[in-house]
Amino acid sequence: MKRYALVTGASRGIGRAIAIELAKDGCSILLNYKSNHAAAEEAKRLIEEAGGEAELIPFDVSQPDAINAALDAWFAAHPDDYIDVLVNNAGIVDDDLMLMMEPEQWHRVIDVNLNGFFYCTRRVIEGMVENHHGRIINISSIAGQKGHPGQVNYAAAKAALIGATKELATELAPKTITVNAVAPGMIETEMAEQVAEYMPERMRDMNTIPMRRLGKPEEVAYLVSFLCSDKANYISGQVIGINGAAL
Amino acid sequence: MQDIQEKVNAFLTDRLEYEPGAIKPEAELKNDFGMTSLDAVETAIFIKRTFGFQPERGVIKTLVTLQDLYDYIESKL
Repeated sequence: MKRYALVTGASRGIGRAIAIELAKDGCSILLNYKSNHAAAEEAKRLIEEAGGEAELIPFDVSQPDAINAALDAWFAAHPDDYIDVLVNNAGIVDDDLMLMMEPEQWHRVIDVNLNGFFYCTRRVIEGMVENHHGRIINISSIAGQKGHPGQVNYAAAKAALIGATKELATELAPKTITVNAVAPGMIETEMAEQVAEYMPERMRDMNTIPMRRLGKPEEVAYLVSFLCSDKANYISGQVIGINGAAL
Repeated sequence: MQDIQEKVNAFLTDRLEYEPGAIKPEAELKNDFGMTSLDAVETAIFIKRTFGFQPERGVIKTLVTLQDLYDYIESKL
């Protein structure tokens, strides 16, 4: 029986690295993305180049109807399968000092980073409960653990993910489903560049990283791979930082 | 009804790991088996898969005995 892993926001950055690593582990990847089809195709190509397999499943994680339509179609085509691994990775930033932040910036970031977790997980856990097995990894952030100027929306969403992780882990533990959060620090991605562009203070923060470098997406992926393996059967409800000792 | 009973009993013992010796129509789901909220959700998923209808939200938790569960399923078929 194939082990299916849905990785949201997997066309680039950390999500893509996670999708590739889980594919190397033998998972068949459901590669979610919102609109960058070319990047998603490239991610799929990289997975196949690594000897894995992936199918593209585009939807906007902040739109429950779109999620349900996409996953209903997938489940209809795979009546005997379920999604054993869910990585809630899709995220956006829209930084501004709170005094300047518009309600739209607040709501959009909460919609994608937090509500997206709820909508996707709600749709996927039924199969995990039925099969008494599953792995849910929520990609939080050091921003949810430590204050940074200009990210009140992002920090609120990422901190809420930590709370949701701890609660959901207790709900699903009886069915041997683990739920963990991974909290990356500054990682070499387009998103980090975007943050740095808007908030030069963040670049100075980077100089305070004891390891004196940014993390690599692959380094986050190795952690997720471990948490999804049988070696991590007893780890649940945890928040694991990966930040070069920055916290 | 016998088919319903056999399938439900197999689910309760094999999947929810309730004590086979306790499987009796008059047994109470919550008090005798210790059915949790999550077990009730899993039971609803089982019913949908096995009998082809989606139980109403929260209805399983309102059923008291195993006989109530059999009767509920039969009433929907």
